[in-house]
Formats: sequence, structure tokens, C-alpha cells
Amino acid sequence: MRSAKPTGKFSLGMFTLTIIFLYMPLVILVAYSFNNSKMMAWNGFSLRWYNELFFSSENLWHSFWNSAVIAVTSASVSTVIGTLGAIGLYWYNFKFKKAISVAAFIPMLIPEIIIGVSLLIFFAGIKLQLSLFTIFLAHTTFNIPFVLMVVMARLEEFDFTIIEAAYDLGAGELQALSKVILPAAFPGVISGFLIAVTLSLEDFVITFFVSGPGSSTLPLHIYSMIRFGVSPVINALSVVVIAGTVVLAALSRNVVKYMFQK
Amino acid sequence: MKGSHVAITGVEKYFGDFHALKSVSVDIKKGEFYSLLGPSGCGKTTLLRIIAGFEDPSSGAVLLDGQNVVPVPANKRPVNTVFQSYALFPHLTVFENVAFPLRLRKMENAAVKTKVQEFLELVKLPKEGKKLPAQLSGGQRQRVAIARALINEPSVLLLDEPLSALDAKLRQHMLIELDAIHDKIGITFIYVTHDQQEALSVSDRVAVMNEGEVVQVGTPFEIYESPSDPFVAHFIGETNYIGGTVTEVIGDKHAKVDFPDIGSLFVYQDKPLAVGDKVKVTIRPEKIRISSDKPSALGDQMNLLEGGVDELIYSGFQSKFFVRVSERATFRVFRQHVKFFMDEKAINWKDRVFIWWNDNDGYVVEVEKP
Ligand SMILES: Nc1ncnc2c1ncn2[C@@H]1O[C@H](COP(=O)(O)OP(=O)(O)OP(=O)(O)O)[C@@H](O)[C@H]1O
Ligand SMILES: [Mg+2]
Repeated sequence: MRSAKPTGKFSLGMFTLTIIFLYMPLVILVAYSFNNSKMMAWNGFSLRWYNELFFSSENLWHSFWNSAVIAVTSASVSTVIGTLGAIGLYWYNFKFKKAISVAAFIPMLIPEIIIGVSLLIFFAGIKLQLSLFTIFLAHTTFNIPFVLMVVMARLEEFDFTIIEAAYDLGAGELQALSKVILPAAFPGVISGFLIAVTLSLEDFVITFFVSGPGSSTLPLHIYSMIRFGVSPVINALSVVVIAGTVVLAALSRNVVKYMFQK
Repeated sequence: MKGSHVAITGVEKYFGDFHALKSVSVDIKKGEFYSLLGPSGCGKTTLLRIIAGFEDPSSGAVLLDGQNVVPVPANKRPVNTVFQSYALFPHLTVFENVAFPLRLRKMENAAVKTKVQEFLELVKLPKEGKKLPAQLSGGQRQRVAIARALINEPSVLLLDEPLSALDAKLRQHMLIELDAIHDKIGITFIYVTHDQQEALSVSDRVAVMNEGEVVQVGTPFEIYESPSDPFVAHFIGETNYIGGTVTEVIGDKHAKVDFPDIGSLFVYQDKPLAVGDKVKVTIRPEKIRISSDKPSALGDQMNLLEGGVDELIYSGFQSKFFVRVSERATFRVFRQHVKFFMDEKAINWKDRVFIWWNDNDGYVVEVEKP
């Protein structure tokens, strides 16, 4: 029965534990980013790790820059391809449509490590030197199914006779696409893009396989730093990333709100 | 007249093995309000989509003013559609929805403004231009859809069950307005509906469809009063449909028919009949009079039967009676409540009653020669 409200004690306990387990590590991380000592013991408040992060970590910022460029470019390309693919799968009828739409989603289910290995073998096979470009290709590849899925979900929501209405009123194929289908799908396209950016920024496994010398991304760089012992600089970086994420999330919510609810 | 003459000749449509339209031919005059009426799944929408250009016929032609438009794509035909689901563009305001076809033609802004305003006034929405479709009521959305479909000044307007999503009161109201718009604009309207009341009340002519075929075309009066097909007799309104054998032909308009379980009745006929023919006859329930007193002084060719009231349904403006005249035959009879106090005695369940009607009110639908 769903009638009565749960009496509270148990669920409140679970809630508290969840919050503690989720956020405690983050709180500790934030705290230690301001620790004066390199060791775990608290040794007074200091901004030295932030200082080091911002003024003497060129390699880290280089990787960060790589990550940002790859995230934006691969998300843009995969958003274009994924959106057009979704529209194609949704609106046009052609041979093997079912097979193609299944094939488009399968990469989402395949373990990343397998995708990483297969891309590596593929790039080696076509003699493509591993570089930022191969990372870009790999990220675009794994982002497409996600964009496709998000845009498809949006398209399925709206009444598809509006496309016929556009034709009926005199629109050609491109006009129907640009004046009706894309604007109606736009919220889905935006979410698809944001998801793609996020996935690209945080990807480690696939990137690990397809990155070449000098083409490190931020996750790869952090991993390599940790191999030589946890540096509090990483704590400081994490705090910056968390703050950035919160600001971005708030911003994008407001932007989306502004665009679609005026 | 600004409308087009529409001729559909021998249109067939197959969806795979399914034969959705079977050699459909109709001829729609310039400026006519023409309805396609039939039960769900009979192919009305399919035929409309073929006229609009969303679907190709498997064979046959669609002629607009004599020109075959089958090879012409939907966006190039002088035909516009009001969709059942309205199909308004959710991201555009009412004004921009209606302006959409004009914007496609790159019409100048000032001209767009006057024209859109003119059509919003035509559908009685002059002040709603700034709203989004989601902020309108169902009836208002319907009006926007109509304005948008008319603004290109098509020569044919196609309407696919445009009122089916509205409640009964509003439907009546919109129907009257549609009729007024049709009178004002004067183009050809092709109106799809499964609601016979809608079709009968506004159409100049009606094509009744069943299972992919057009079974009868006629004015609402002809369709109702002289159905040429048993399906039409049953589909339009309620009726008493009985079969018997001709025993006497009277002049060239009447006959006497013997109905098993009922007796001998006078009927009207407009087909060549001979004694011995088997016929099916329709008698509309509202044409039959009912009373618990035997009527006096009926004319020579009146039909009179006696029976018991099997069932009685009161529905405000009328009562329906099911009168059993023999073991195996009942008649439906409608009595309008024209006065608060009926002149005659009230009729109750199980009462003995008399029913009678004019010879002209039994109509021969089918004839089978022996
Ligand atoms: N694209 C299609 N593929 C296969 N069958 C179809 C297709 N479109 C319509 N049909 C079939 O053709 C028949 C007629 O459909 P249609 O939509 O024309 O009916 P309708 O008279 O408009 O019915 P309703 O009053 O329910 O709208 C139906 O049996 C339907 O299942
Ligand atoms: Mg239909």
C-alpha cells in the first residue's frame, strides 16, 4: 500500500547515511585542498595548492585545454550527426531502418574497454597516428548514440503530423527541417550536446587507449599524477572542477528555462 | 467560384496486401461542401491524404480542374489540410503559425501583418496572436488551424474530422462557423467525418464509404430518405429494415408487399418492380405514429399495425418505443415531445398500442428478382 506516509525514522536514517557517504569524501577533499601540509595531518589553512595549481602546473593546464577542445568539438560534431540521425530514423522510411536504429544504440551497451581496444586496433590498422585527433574521433563515436537517444526521445514527444502540416503549407524538405523539425527538437538537441560534453570531459578508459604521446586529457593527467602519489594540487583542482560544474549546471538550467518558458 | 473542381477517378490503394481503397471515383463540384462519411477504418483519411499528396494512390488519378495532380508533391498542390490533431507548430505563436505559409513565400512584413490579422478575424481570434498554441483552448486551436490552412488561399480545403476532439456543444457551434466560412470564401471543402449528424447538417453532398468503397453519393436528403444500399440505410440514422415479397404493383410509385411475421404493407418504390420480387424496405422510426387508441379514418393506403410496447426509452425531446407486432418482429418508433402535456394518453411499458404510417414512408432499398 502506498497510502500512509512512511513513519520517518528508518528512511531518515538512510537518507542521512546516503548524504554522509556521498558528500563526506567531497567535504574532506575540499578541506584538504586548503591544508598547508602535503601529508594527511591538518597543518593550518593555506592557499599554496591553489597557487601551485594556477601558477606552476603548465602540463595540467595543457591537458585541461586538450580536454576542453575535444569536449566541445566532439560534442558539436556528434550533436550534428546524432540529431540528423535521429530525424532520419524518425521521419524517413528506408530499407534496414530497424537494423540501423538498433546498430546505432549498441555502442552504448558495449563495455568501454572493448570500444577502446577496438578503436585502437582500428586506428593502428588504418595507420592513423594516435593524437588529439584520434581522441576526438573516439569521443565523437561514443557520443553519437547518446545524442541520438536524447533527440529521438524529444521527437517522439511531439505530434509528427506537424511535419506533414509544414509540407502541406508549402515548405520544402529543407524548410521543414529548419523551420519546424529542428526548432521543435531544439531542447533535445541542447540536452544532447550537454550530455556529450560531460561524457567527453570525464572519459578515461577509451581515451586511455587512443591517446598518443603529448595528447593527454585532464582525466589521463590526473591519473598519471596519482601514480606518483596523491598531490594536494589534485584536491585543489577537484574543488575548482566542482565549483565550475555547479555554476555551469545552474547557468544551463536558467538558459534553458529562459529559452523555452518565456 | 474560387474553388477547384475535384475528380477522383478509379483510385485504388493497397497497403501491402490490404486493399484500403477499392476503385473510388467521386466528382466534387467547384465550391461544394462535400463530406466523406463512413465508419472507422473505411478509408476516409487515406482518400484525403491521397488528395493532399501525402500518399500516392496505387492506381487511378486525382484531377484538380482537369489536371492530374498525382505527380505533384504535397507542398506544390493548391490544397490545404486542417488536421484532426490541429498540428500547430508548438514553438511558434498563433500569429507566426498562421503567417507560416506567407513567410515561406518571403512575403513582406507589412503585408503579412494585414493578411494574418484578416484571417485571425475570420476565425474570430483577432486578439490571440501573441499566444503560444499551448495557451489556447481546444476550440481556439481548431480555429488557428483553420486560419493557417486558409491563408494560402487554396482552391480546396481538406478537413479530417476537425471537430472530433471538441465537446458536443462546441462542435455544433464550430460546425455552424465552418459553414459560414465556407459561404464567405467559396472554395471547395472536403470534409471527413464518421459523424452522420455533422455530415448531414452542413454538406451540399455526402459520399458514404464502407470498407474502402463509395457506396452512395447524394444530398443529405437523398442519403437519408432514399438510401440505395442496406449499409447506408443502417449507417445513417436508425431504421426498421424488413424483407418481404411483392404481391401487387400499384401505379408506378407504390407496391403492396407481404412481410412474413408482419403482414401486408404499402411501400413506396422508384425502381422497376414486378410481382414476386423479393425486396428490402426501410421505414424510419420518426415517420411512424403511435397511440394507445385506434386511429379513426385512416386513408386507403395507410399501414396500420397493432402490438405491445417491449421497451421504452425516454430521452428528453423524444421517446423511443420498441413495439412487438408479432413473435419475431419489432418496430422502432420515435415520438417527439412537442408539448408538455401530450394530447394523447401516456403510453407505458407493456401497453397495447397501434402504429401507423403513410405508404410513402416505406422505401424499397434492395430488389432481388426471383
Ligand atoms: N500506412 C498504413 N499502412 C497500413 N495500413 C494502413 C495505413 N494507413 C491506413 N491503413 C489502413 O487502411 C484502412 C483505412 O484507414 P483510414 O485511416 O483511411 O481510415 P478512416 O476511415 O480514416 O478511419 P477513422 O475514422 O478511424 O479515422 C484501415 O484499416 C487502416 O488500418
Ligand atoms: Mg481517419
